[in-house]
Amino acid sequence: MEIDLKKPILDKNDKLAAELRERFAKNHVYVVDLLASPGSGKTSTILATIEALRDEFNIGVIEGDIASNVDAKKISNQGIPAVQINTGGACHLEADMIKRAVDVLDLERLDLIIIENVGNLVCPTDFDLGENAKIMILSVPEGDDKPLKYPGVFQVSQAVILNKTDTLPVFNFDTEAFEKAVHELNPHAPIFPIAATKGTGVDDWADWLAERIRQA
Amino acid sequence: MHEMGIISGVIDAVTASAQAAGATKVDKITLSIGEMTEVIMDCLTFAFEALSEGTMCEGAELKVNIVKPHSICLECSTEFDHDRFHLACPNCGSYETVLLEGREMTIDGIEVDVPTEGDDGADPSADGEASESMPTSDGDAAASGQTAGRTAPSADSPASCDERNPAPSACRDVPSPEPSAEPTL
Ligand SMILES: Nc1nc2c(ncn2[C@@H]2O[C@H](COP(=O)(O)OP(=O)(O)O)[C@@H](O)[C@H]2O)c(=O)[nH]1
Ligand SMILES: [Mg+2]
Repeated sequence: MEIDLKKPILDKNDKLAAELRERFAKNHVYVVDLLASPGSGKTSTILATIEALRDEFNIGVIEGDIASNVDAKKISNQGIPAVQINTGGACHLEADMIKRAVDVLDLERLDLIIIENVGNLVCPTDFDLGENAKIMILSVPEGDDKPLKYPGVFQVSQAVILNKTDTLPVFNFDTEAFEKAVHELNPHAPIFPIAATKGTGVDDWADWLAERIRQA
Repeated sequence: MHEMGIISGVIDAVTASAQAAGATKVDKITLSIGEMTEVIMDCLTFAFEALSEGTMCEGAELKVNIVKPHSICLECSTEFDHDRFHLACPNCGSYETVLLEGREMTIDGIEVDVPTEGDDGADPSADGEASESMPTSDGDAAASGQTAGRTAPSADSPASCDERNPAPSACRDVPSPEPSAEPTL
């Protein structure tokens, strides 16, 4: 017997993500899902973004990690509410994990939620978390050829942050080639060169984000 | 890596539909996967073999239709096929394009064995196969849903394949029991 299903495989996740998106909109919270490799500077970028935006907005952070809560501690040390999700081995976050984390946060009070996804350039790209924007961070030491190796993550992102630009003098990173490759994959995504730990370039990124938070 | 999670979703959904149709075994599963997703075919096949063991999907043929990316140009309305890297309109060179196909991840359909109760005259060999060979496969396999499971209180809620055949935690990429969400305030 043949049974016609025509059912999206990630049906459950997509429905839950849609519910979350509605909930975020109702509460006027803008949600960002940060995608990057381990060590590229996601936590550092979150800390720099908090510094730039905390006077104007109430910010919450969801930290996805395979294990540990060191990143969430770094955030909560800044007086920012942070929820740690330990994925227990999973290589990406899914909407049900975000839902559990969001239940702990005071959505009504928040303007911005930043999600630090699990460090991985592949798996998280296929999962909708109900976010307003996926943002990709690449760091200079990873090399300018990454758009060619991981096109998917560059395509699903609404903006690309190039971090650790302070290390450009010591790495053979062709910024022009990188920008061209990103542009070909995703002509609408702006690229923000920053050095998160030095604060360089963070203002342009923060302005771009602030504009969107105000409209949420 | 996330193919394990994808396949466990497929097996859950397929098992639910197959059980709802009164089937005892799944013969074939057809998926459509867009080339613009991050799904790797070899990993899908591997994940399916690993996770379907001991479920009613074990031994089923997994057919995957790969959907080529197809976009439309917003400037000149040309529709065109492309690969993962070259998204510009071949007619006018514009990058103002919208992907129409290529991000699919769907279960198109399944083929299942439904044992007949004798009154609808279906293929007798299928009947014999289901009632004789299935229960001999040992213990808690899919067949038990047919026999012992019938009187069990949980029989009408489709049991997930995961519960029947938990994969070793090392190769799972879906969180095992409950990922913890702890506020660290
Ligand atoms: N030189 C330099 N190092 C950075 C920068 N941003 C992050 N790092 C360092 O990179 C390492 C990983 O950063 P982290 O934010 O923890 O990365 P995550 O794993 O993506 O969250 C840390 O040692 C940071 O101090 C930067 O802009 N410049
Ligand atoms: Mg981190």
